[in-house]
Amino acid sequence: MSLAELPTTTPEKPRPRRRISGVWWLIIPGALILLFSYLTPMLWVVRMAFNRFIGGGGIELTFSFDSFSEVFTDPYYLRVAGTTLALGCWVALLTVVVAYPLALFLARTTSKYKALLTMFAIAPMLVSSVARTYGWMVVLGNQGLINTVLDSLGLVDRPIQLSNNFLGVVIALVQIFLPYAVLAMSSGFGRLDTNLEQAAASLGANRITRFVRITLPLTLPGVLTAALLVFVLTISAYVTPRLIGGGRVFVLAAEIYDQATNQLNWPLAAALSMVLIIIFGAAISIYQILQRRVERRMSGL
Amino acid sequence: MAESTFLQIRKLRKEYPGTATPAVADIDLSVGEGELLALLGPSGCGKTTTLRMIAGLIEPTAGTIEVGGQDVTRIPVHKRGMGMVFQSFALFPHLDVSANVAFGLEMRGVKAAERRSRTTAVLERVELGHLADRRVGQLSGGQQQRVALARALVVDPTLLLLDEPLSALDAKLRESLRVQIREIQQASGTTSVFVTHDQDEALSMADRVAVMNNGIVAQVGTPTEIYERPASVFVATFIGRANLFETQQVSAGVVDVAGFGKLSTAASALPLGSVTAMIRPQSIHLLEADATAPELLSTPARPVFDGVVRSTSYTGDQVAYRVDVSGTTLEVETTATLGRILSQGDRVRVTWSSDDLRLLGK
Repeated sequence: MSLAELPTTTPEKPRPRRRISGVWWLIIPGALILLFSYLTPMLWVVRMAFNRFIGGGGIELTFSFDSFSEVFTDPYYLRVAGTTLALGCWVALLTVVVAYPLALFLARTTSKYKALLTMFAIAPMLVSSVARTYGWMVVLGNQGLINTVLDSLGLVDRPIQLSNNFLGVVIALVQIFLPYAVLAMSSGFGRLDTNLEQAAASLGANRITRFVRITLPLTLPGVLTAALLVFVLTISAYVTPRLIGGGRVFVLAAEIYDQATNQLNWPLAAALSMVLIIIFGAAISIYQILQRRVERRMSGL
Repeated sequence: MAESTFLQIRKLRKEYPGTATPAVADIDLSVGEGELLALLGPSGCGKTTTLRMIAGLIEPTAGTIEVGGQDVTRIPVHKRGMGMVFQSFALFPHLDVSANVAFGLEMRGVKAAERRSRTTAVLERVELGHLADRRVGQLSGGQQQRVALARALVVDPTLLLLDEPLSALDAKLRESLRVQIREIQQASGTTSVFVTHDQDEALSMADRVAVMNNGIVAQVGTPTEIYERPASVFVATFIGRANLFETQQVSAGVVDVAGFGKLSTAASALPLGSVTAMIRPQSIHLLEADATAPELLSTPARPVFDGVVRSTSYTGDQVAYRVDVSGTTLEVETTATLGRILSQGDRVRVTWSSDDLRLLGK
């Protein structure tokens, strides 16, 4: 190119004007939706928890702790809260244990079918959890697939109790939330440099030591995120505990629904909701404390 | 430098399924005790694959690797006792500097007290003693690479393997680290293999250089052998710059180049017929066009030609000229300290020693 062809002056760029206000305009719709669809009802629920139930669907507008004292003194509600918490912990733990190798494999594989494999792993999300719950009832029931097979093989005399109990709910929820956990973990695992394990290997670390000393600590943030996600989804699950629990597994979400729609005891339902929200809050706080501790180790600050 | 062979590679081969040509095709290499060998080549030439096979990170398709007389081909990576430095540093981000360095000692079951003293000593050697408690994320790139070097060296490895250790660093840092790595390697006497695509790095650091291309070793030799007596057109053009003439060898040591006539060359074992003649830009000397000194008489050992400067490129210490000699453009490089700088259109005379005109095979 000769010099004559070069443009002699650069065209003047229009000056950016009031860029910040544009961003605010974009935030407003979302903020409004959150305000009206989330914050307002939340405040309403909080207010409702302090009203008094007077039977037959009647609610006295007042300011009392009756519903809360019922929740915190009646052993039944304490047991329901305990079951919910235990369910959340078990499902979170087992889902993470099952999802971890899967997520690590998907993040690591160099197979040309990686996209397809990832799709298979998360495809169950496309099926409604109601449908999957019914599927598990067919598999886990006393006349279900597992017991029929075990019986025909002569391995059991009586059917193993796999549904209508805590175990059945755990099994079904682990499967239902598995894709979420895989997704949450593998997004973080992709950044894990395989050279780190190779460096550890060259320094004399065998397979197990490499995993315990290098891979596991570095994947911990993703594991924590997945655990939190599954925990939160589990303690707010309604359909699966209801259907697979067969009326024997009582959890907060189901209890709230019962109180609100069957007993019409809205103050109690609201108070139970607050308990659930407190559990949420506690879980998120624990998550953040752990995550911060892990991150501090990573960044070295 | 190489007293006795320490690393011996025989017919080493790596094929990946679904590829037509092997990544590494039956290469033989030997590295003497305490020697630093550079594997130099363009990306995809198989140099990193070769290094990783030596380390045990890639399993060879065929061939053997012997270290100190012992066949290690089937020994897993964590039992080979080699030290490796990665291009990406590969420091453990969740451990501090001294824990990174001590990792290999810990794996070998070295007691805590000895671990501490050896870690401190090696960190002093790479001049990072004051940063022992830092997290690796707080270090600069150059510091991180020195930690990686310390981590590999602290275990007294049988072999030190360096995979493009300086490529992720900026130019200034690269040069100072080159010197430092070389000094530490020589002081420890660790036999080392070094992968790089940077010819300056290979030539300045290595005792010997193996130039690789398309999975084979094109030439092995000392840096001066490789630079001054390249075995092929590939080596001549990959390392440094070269003026090349496609020509015919008409009789032993004589070529006929269009525009230059018959030229004497350095002795060569190549058969008569079609060859490539090569001369480095630094081997061509420029003379004033009107000079009348006796050395301007053209002789077979020192031919002289008239030329015209077509372009000048001044870089402070060097001047690169492109000089037209009867229709052929020659690249000529001179140091800029002496004489005036010629400019476009200046008439000059060019000359060289016939020993510097070398014949190359394909």
